[in-house]
Amino acid sequence: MGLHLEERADGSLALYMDGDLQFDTHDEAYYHECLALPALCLAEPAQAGALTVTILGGGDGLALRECLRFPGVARVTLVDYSHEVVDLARGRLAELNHNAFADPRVTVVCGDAWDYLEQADPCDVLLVDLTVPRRTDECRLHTREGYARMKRVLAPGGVAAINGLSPQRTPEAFWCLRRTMRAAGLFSLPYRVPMPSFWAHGYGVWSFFLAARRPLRRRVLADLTCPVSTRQADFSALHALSRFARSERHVEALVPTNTLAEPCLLPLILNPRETRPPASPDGEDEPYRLDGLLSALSILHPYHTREMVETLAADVVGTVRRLDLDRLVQALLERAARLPAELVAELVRLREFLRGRAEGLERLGLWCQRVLVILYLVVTMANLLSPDNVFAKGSFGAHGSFGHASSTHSTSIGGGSSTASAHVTGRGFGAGYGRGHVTDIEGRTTGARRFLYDPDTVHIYLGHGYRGPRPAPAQAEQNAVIAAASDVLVMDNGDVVVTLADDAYLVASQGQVSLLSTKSGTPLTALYADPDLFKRLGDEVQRQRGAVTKELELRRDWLGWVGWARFLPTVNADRLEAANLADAGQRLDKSVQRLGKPASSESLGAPDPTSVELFVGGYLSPDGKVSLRQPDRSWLTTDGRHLDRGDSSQACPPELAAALRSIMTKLEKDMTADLAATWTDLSTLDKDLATLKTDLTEYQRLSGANGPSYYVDYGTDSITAQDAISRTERDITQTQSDRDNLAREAQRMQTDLGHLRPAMPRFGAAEK
Amino acid sequence: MPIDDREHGSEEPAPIAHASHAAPNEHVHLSHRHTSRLEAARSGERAERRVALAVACLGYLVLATRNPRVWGQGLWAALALLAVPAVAGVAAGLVAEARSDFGERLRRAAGGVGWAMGGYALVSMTMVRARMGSGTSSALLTIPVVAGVLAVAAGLVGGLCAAGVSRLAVKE
Repeated sequence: MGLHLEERADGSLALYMDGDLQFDTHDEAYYHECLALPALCLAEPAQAGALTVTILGGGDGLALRECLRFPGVARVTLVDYSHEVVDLARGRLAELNHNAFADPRVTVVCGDAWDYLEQADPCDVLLVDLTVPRRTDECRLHTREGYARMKRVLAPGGVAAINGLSPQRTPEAFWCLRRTMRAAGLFSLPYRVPMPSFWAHGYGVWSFFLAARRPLRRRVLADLTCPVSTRQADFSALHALSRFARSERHVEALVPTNTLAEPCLLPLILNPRETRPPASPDGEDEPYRLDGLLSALSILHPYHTREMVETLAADVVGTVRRLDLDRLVQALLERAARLPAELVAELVRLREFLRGRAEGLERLGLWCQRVLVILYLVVTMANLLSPDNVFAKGSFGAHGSFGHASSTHSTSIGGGSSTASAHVTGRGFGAGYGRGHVTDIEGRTTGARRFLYDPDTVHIYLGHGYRGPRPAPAQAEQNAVIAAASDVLVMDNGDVVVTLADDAYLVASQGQVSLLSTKSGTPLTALYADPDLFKRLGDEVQRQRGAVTKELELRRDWLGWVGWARFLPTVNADRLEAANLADAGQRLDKSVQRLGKPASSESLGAPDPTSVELFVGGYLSPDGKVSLRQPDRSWLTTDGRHLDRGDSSQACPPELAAALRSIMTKLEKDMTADLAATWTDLSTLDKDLATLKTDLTEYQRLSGANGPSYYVDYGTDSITAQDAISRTERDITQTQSDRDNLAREAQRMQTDLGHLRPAMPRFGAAEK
Repeated sequence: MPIDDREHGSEEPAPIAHASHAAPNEHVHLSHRHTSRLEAARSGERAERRVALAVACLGYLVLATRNPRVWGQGLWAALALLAVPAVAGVAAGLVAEARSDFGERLRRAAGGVGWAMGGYALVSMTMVRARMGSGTSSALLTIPVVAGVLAVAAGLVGGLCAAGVSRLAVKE
């Protein structure tokens, strides 16, 4: 415990305990008179004229002094835990307390008040003059349990006076005391005690509580009559000082009760609503301007009294005044002169340190940078060399139709040859190659295609005039391996098959071509080997061979890099693909060899200009007969029932009729679709033509109104009206020409369909 | 009142705290020496690596005019994995700093040759793959792995040559 007695020059005293002001002789009489005398006045002694008083705390003897001068006080027990305070009161403060401890009525108990209350005898007046609690254990007497003990000690007519807190600075704590007293069953009556010394220390207006086991009304203070004179207290104002506004009393409902189980008083004291110290009321002379210093202190504890701060400030000022500033500045300058070199050294060390730490990250960044640059270069170069492949936009050209060679409404045979380079993008040349699937040059696969014919007897002529033995039906199927075009297949034996319809196909080999049915193992008839057909087929197969060769070389180039890395699955797949491409190339080579050249180099036309070409060498006449050009250039005609050659006639083989019917059905279907598309195109062209004519009229109007140099909108451009008129006229001419050609084509298709449709039923019923 | 040296310490101000116990000025000089030596070493390292990279790039530029298949697999392997790295390694070894040890010389030359071979292989393979039109997605793993293996092999040859040449130079 820190005990400090402040002795001033004017002879006044002030006592501090742990930094808290206990009393100041300037107003201590007011404090102790207000504490002791009202309670003494209001107490109803158990024995008349023999008041018993117990003082808890108050070791300075000043409250004791007030008790002893009150008439009728028979016995006073003072309980204080501090020997030092009691000794001080007996010695240095004896004059101030009128040597109260020497009075025979006084009993001093040095001990804990909590323990004393537990076994104390009842008393008429209980004065609680404890210091303001600054620790949790010091709050024990202000708990509900503590007040309950006080209630037990208090005689039925007794009155207790309890040192309270400031209702101004710590209203929550103040009303917590009141609420706790009520909870303990005590009736309490608070009243303010405006102490100048307390005010100067920032404690605010102080307060006391009167408490009793019986109700205490404020009017008892108004009627209070004190039998002893007071030096500073004026009890006539006590009634007014006990008045609290409703807003102040309202706080009591908001604060909790302080109990041993749930102590709350100390937090309420240390966290008051208002913590700012008041301005100095009397403007006393300050040796230093402490406001700035006080505000600079981050924590200003109540222990830090104004005098302490002043002492601290005086020490600081004294220290500063003792400094030899000239020498200090000189030393600082010398130090500063050396500082740059030291700073440089420190910075160098820092740089080395950072380099060491950042080396790893630097290296990682460098690697990332290199990889990104290489990737960028690779992608850029690859894009420059082959943009389509880099962005996977490559495509193989159109697939022409070889069977309907000269038909303008089907894809032209010549147009079937694409100049675009083919790339193997599918997996047809992978593990599935040659296992029943048909693979095209792009690596796409379709289902198995098998054809029943004998390669050795496929070109034997079976028509009229054939003198040899009829060949036996083929027993073995020939498998297609490569799709050279949409209707051209390369067989595993090297033959080239041109599919005409579901039931009919052509086999071209050894410079000969024959018509076969998928439903018969024997050939239907041999046909005139058209050199154009063989040339186109040969060219297409050669082109395919070239594409295969190129792809094969690319894969060999690739395998030249990665071929040794057989531990990678993709490399093995590439090796297999290269092997299959090589096999496909060999088959195509074989196919070219087996295709051969026709005996004649002359291309022969249709028997009648109005005939409809069904396939190469097969025509439908307007009279409904199909003419097939034989290898000897003669015509074999059939109406579906009879097969005529020159002057001889025989029944038409049903396989031949069915095959022709199948071809006509497919052709009719294709032509119908083409015709519908042509009509649509014609309609579009008509609309375009109408729009162009409207535009031309508008341009002419604008030209007439504003002159030929007038600028008009022409699409997204702005050109002169004269230019717009000439361009539009040119567009109209071109569109009209296209439309006329298309209309002629449509007319021709209509005519062909007019021949085709009536003839079809003669060759048998359509298959569903 | 003058400052009492006995109370306030000596006139010589205490140095700023250092990690080592060396005096500040001495520390500065040591740092300069260390830094210059470090710079010299790094400069030598860069030169060695650059020479290896440049010579290897030149060699691979010649090799890149043809595909390995066209060169012939055996000839190409001999050129790309032995001849070019060896020449580049020897060139790098001739400019290598004599004080550096075997491992450092090997690492520096191998880095230069390896980068050159890796770049050459990466670019060439990507171009071939792009021309194939099969897409490079299936080769996303193959190209880096093969390029990496080739780069390591070539770098090892180049590094060994560089280190060997440097050792011979030191002995002489």
